[in-house]
Amino acid sequence: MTSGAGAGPELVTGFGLYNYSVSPVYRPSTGDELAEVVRLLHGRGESPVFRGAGRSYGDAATNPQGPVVDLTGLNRVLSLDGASGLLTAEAGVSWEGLWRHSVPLGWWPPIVPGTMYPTLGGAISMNIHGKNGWRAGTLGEHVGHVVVLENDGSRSRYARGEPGFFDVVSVWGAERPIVEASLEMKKLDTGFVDVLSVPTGTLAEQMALLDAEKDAWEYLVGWIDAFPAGDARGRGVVHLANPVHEALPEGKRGLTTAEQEVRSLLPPALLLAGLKLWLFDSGMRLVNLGKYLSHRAQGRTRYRQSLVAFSFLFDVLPGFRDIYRPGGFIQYQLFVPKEAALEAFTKALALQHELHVPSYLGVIKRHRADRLPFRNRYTSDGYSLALDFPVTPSNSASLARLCREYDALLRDVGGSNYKAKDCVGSLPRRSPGVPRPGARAA
Amino acid sequence: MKRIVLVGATDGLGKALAEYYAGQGCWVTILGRNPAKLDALVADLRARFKTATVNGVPCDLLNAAEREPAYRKAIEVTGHCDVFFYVAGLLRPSDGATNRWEDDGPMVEVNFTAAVHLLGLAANDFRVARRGTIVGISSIAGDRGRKLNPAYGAAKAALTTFLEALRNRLAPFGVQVSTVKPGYLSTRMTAGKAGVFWSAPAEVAARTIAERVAKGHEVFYVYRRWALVGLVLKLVPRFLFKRVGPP
Repeated sequence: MTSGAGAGPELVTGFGLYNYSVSPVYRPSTGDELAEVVRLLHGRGESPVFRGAGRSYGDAATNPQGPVVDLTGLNRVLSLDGASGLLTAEAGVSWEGLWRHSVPLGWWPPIVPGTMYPTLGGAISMNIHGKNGWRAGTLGEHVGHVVVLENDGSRSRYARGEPGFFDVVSVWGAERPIVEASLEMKKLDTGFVDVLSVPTGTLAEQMALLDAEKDAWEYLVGWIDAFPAGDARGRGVVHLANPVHEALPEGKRGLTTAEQEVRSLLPPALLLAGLKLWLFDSGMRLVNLGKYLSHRAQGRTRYRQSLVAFSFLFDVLPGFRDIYRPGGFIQYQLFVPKEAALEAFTKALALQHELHVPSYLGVIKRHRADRLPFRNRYTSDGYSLALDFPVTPSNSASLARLCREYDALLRDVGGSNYKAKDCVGSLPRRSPGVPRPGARAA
Repeated sequence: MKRIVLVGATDGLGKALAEYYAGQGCWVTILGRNPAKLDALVADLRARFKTATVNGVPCDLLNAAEREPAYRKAIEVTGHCDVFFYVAGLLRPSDGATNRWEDDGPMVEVNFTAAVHLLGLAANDFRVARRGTIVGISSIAGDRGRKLNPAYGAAKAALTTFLEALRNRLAPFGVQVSTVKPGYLSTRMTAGKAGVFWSAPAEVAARTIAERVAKGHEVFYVYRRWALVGLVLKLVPRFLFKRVGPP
């Protein structure tokens, strides 16, 4: 635990492992320690990067030019109002910490990321979205207030909608650390969702289904196999889910952490070792094909799942990113307005084949535009396509080119990409030490 | 997706390496002394290689105070660094008889002292990161003490030894350190000089160096025949080298 002056350099990576920095890391565990660290660093003229769990893929939480302050030590849930559902917590708490606290009390976060390990503060700063992007928008719309620590040690509190709020939420890299935030939680009748899984043969079919079902289901997410070209392009599976409201007997309502817990049938280490064997283009082509065929064979299926199992699918394999070592992996997520989305995604999938860098995992979601004037707005009434790519010595030149092609594609169709996923410098890099518009000097 | 930092790349071999890596779509950051030349090169590379990300950081290697800030800036704009090249070299003409400190001092500074400074910073980061490749451009001129330009040869010899020591220190951390002795190149450094032979065009040398570095080669000459020359030079006994050794 280092909070004082002697932090030595450490390796700090983004979630994709591809981006890293070697930086002194400070790990305060209380608000006072944090204030001391901030005062010390600013006294030396250094501009720290504030880091949550480091779950953004790229360089959002690394700092090639200076220190990193890890905020995961400030992770207490402070209160949860039983009437309004307003949860207040320190910003370093993870989504795992949130649900473990809130589910037994009958509440669930308004939006959750795809894994349970990001921090609340990081998610607010990046203004994450979830599988309920159509209904709920982005996280910032559900934040009651934020508290940030000023360089002089004082604290500023901004309620949602206040001008200062927009200097903190969705700024994609904060000059000042978020130390506390509140979230408007959703009341749970049960801890389960009813899921409908529908195989789709083409990209067009999948996107039409996501659009047609967007009002009938709270959570919608489509997985696509990015390998095939031609008619089978974009074949995949759509998962639609609604919370279960029916009255279940006491003790069977899914409101205990034990009922929510995700477990895999095989030891995760064994599964990962097995998956790693397939981690090359033709191997992943077979894995994707196998996944598609098994869904196709099952057809439309309905099942009931815990919210945690449905929301945090990948957490069954907590170390899954390690199979991409040593090169790491990146994700490029294209956000495109609905009119242009099918054409743009078709082109995006074709481009990865042209350049021989097939994506190992593709995910499509439906979104709506933000209702608040965030500084960085990346969603629109449209869709997003997230594509994961491994970074290897042999694909790296083509992959860089593909990312530039995607940048150009997004410019042409009026789409955006998203800092939490960006790894490749296609977004303007933040420059530590250079205050941005709206930043307050201490 | 590779991220390359090149120290001393506004001319000759360094420039050719910058072109090679920009052509591969890499992130390339160039440290150069002359800001105008640097800006022109960066603009040219950006225009020619659309998929590359090219940046320049001005740095006068003779000014010790500029070196660490320039290193930090280079890493910052590159995001992180996969391959760190020290290509800068300074060869001042010599009459083969007179030692001139005004030439020897800067030659030792650019060929060795600044390399120790910048490669030392890169080595520290790579050791912690447990990854990365350091490449130093040394010279066959350092293989023996030759009478024409003692300070140049000694600085290159020191650089070769420094790189070898870094290699041995960083090997347990998975960091590669490569020493390149290019042999004669057709660049400004050798232009118009007598006795230049087997000289490689800079772009050929750049491609060869990049490919060998990617394959993990640790010590190499651009044309393999130079290795033989180097070996012969090293085997000639001292009394003989004194009498018949090359200038």
